Amino acid sequence: MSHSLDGFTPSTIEYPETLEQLSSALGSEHKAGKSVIPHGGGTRIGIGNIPTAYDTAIDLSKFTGEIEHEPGDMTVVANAGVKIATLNDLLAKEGQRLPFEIRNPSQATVGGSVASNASGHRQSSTGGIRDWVIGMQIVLADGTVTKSGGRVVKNVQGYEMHRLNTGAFGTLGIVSQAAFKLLPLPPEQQTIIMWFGNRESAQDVGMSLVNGLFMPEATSLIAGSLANKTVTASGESAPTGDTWALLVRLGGGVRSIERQVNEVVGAGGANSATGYAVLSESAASAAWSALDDAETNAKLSVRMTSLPVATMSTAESIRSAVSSSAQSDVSTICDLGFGALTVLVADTEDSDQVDITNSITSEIEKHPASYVIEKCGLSVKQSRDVFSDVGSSIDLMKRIKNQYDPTNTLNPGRFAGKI
Amino acid sequence: MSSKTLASSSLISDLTNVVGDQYVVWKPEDLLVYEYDGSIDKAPPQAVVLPSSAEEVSQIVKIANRHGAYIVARGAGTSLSGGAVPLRNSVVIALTRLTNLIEVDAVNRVAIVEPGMINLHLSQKVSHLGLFYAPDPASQKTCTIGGNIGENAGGPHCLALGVTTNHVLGLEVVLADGSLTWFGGTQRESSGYDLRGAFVGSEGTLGIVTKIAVRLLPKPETIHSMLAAFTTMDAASDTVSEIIAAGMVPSALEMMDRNTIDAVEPFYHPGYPAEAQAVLIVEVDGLKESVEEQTETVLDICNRNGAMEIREADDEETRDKLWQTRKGAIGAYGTIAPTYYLVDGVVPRTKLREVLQQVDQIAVELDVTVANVFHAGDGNIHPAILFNERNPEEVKQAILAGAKILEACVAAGGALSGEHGIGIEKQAYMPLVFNEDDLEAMSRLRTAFIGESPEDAPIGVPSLGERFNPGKVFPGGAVHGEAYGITAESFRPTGTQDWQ
Ligand SMILES: Cc1cc2nc3c(=O)[nH]c(=O)nc-3n(C[C@H](O)[C@H](O)[C@H](O)COP(=O)(O)OP(=O)(O)OC[C@H]3O[C@@H](n4cnc5c(N)ncnc54)[C@H](O)[C@@H]3O)c2cc1C
Repeated sequence: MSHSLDGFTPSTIEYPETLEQLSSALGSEHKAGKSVIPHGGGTRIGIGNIPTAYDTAIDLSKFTGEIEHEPGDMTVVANAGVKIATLNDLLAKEGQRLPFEIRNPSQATVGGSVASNASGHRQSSTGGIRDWVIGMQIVLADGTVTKSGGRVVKNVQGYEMHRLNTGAFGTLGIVSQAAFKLLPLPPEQQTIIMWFGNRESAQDVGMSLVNGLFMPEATSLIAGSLANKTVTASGESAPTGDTWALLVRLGGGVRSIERQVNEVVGAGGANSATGYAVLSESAASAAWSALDDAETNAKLSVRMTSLPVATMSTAESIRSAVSSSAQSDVSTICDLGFGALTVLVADTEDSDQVDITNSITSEIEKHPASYVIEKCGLSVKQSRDVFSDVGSSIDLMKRIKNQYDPTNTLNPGRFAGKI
Repeated sequence: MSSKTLASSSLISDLTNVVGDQYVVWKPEDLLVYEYDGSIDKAPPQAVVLPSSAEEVSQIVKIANRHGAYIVARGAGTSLSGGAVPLRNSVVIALTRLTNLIEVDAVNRVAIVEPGMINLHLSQKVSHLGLFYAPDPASQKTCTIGGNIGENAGGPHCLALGVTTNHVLGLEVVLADGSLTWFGGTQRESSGYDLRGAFVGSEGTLGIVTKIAVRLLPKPETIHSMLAAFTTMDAASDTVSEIIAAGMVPSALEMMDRNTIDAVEPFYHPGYPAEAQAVLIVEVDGLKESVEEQTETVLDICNRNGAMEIREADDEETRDKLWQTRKGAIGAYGTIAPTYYLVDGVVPRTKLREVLQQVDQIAVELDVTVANVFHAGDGNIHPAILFNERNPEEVKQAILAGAKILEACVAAGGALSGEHGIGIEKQAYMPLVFNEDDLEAMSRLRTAFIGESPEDAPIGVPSLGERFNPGKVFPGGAVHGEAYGITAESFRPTGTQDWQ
């Protein structure tokens, strides 16, 4: 794996395997005044502003250690380098899973996912990593090993440094180990796809589901060419015109699933879905993979978090704003239970990216929302902050950074507000 | 009354200028009720102010800064860890006038409330929309949502739905310099550090919350509550483990022991079997079909573990009755002892049985009476140590027993607190879990929040980092039980438990 980033190539790459090695590697780089960027599986390493300096990569992929899973307690503790898929495979043997979903699980690591607040479509029902992290071990910039929280499902003992460090993108310390609360795997799962000719009908059905009597595991509303592709991937023949596809995954016992399927199909029928299909396991996995592939292959992607209803109208206004200014293929995915919108631009020239990105973010800024430009070319990074404005708490955030990393050793300049 | 006024007259008049005469309390006899919270510790404030807006809170903070006074935010004062006890002659800012529901967005399921709103009132006010607010501390009829933020409160239904932090989207906060800012918003995630996550559970030491954006949930279609009586605590504990092992997360899993049954019988006359040593409440909710499936499993497990009696409820009235003993248990301890010290510790669920036995042994060794009522599903135990506060020896034994119970929790791989917080009560025990580096790292967060003393502050301004709720959370700030003659030497933790 290359450790180069935004035009920088580190002169040193460390691969610590133990906590002592990690602590002493970071400690000595810190002492030597070097700038350090920690690496996990690399799936989200590109997110962030251009570093102000980058001397050393600390690659945590070998920092795996033992996974401690206590099925009876429904908790797991794992080191930063453990892959999400490895963890879930182990948990599945006991009928459990990580409550949150992470994209590219076979590459993504625990540390990288926590640090970058990674997500997947199940966020619609179970929320994000921050909701399930119960304890953490953090190596501070000077190499000091610290911890917070605990290993039991419920604990309030001291400040919740584990929540502060979730989504801090490794700017306050290196997340070396995390403890999570788990959930049982549902006995059965079922995916349904429905498609609509306009946003309003799709939105009505989608919102009725996430505000209804049961919360589907995932409720993803897809628009743009990806909507047609997803319908096709699920084995159905896609309509040619503008399409809004609703991909819904249900979980539960046999009788409960039966009822849920009826309710979902009923809601679609009542709102004149153009078509629907209750998918076989292979068709379901093809449909969800279509989303993952589009996210992996996009040239430009932006994640917006806002009120669910606002994400859908923004999805529509972004597509019309961008298509009127550039010839780009823009698709959107709204995870309705969470209020997340992912904007994906499949094929764009680097030279157009700055304009396209600006028109996307200016649509987002019309709502109470925050965003992060997750994927883009260097030209975009050179032109702006890839994170939305943090508002009036920027000074406090800078003071926090200054308390934990006064020498600006870790990920310098890469975070929101160029912290 | 002849006792001396603590606050200077200029402080009183500055505060009066902001909120008016009737909302500043300063006469010693009127201040007495603000010396206490739900814990056994107490200390006198110099004044209490009751603001009616965030702007007034901001002005009060600036005034306190000018006068070099510490500040303690107070909700309903039901904290069980001494969280609301005003040490160092603090000025108390009581948020009880800030009770408005500012906004409800039913479609996006978001509400914005003021911090003095009573927890239960929020669920009542959104009930007609088919929504509710999930965190439900047993004190929900009195405690405030601001206080819930302070302690990251939990409750019986937090097993499936999560604790306060999982339901908070954004906070409007008055910082140490009196400025107002928002952490997060109405959306689930925000740019930058998760300050809302860092703030919830910080026990009033980082700022004062003046508005809260929370998530609301749709009410379930069906709720089914079951209550099972067992002849031993072990059988009840095993039932809990087996329910979890069956791949279920019930919405609640609550347990009561014999002493608690004895306390609630004269109050509520539930008529539990005379030989019952434990009563377990299991609640499942969701779609009718899912509830039926889960109910079958739960009843089967209860029966296999020898349940002597099972009661069930699926309408609101019967359910309220079934829950009455659980929700009223702590209040009912008054029937069997003058005072109780409610300990809050967490153990891994799989160690529940073992630690409960240790709690029994500790009670015998120290000759104290312990009653148990707790969130079994989370492994969150609440041994109530019953004592007479007029007998100094009994007080000492109670505190010592609490310390030993917490030591046992930590030794089993658990935590010092599941929901009541550290406050005054547990600060001396923090080294059982955290070493100096851990605590130092936490205290840096407070330094970042509190910053340098304001430039216009006179000499004598409270020291860096202690502006809000001084003497709490960190070891060395105060002595638990000091009012009863306990000294720092009475209990010293024996070592740091490392969970790495
Ligand atoms: C009978 C009984 C049963 C209980 N059951 C439970 C239970 O099931 N689960 C549970 O979690 N707790 C329980 N508690 C404990 C207590 O009710 C909770 O901790 C509750 O959250 C405290 O709310 P309060 O409004 O009383 O806050 P207070 O006691 O007034 O304050 C608590 C803390 O929050 C801070 N604070 C208050 N308001 C603000 C604000 N606006 N901004 C910043 N900080 C603030 C205070 O400074 C203090 O540190 C119980 C207590 C009793 C007496």
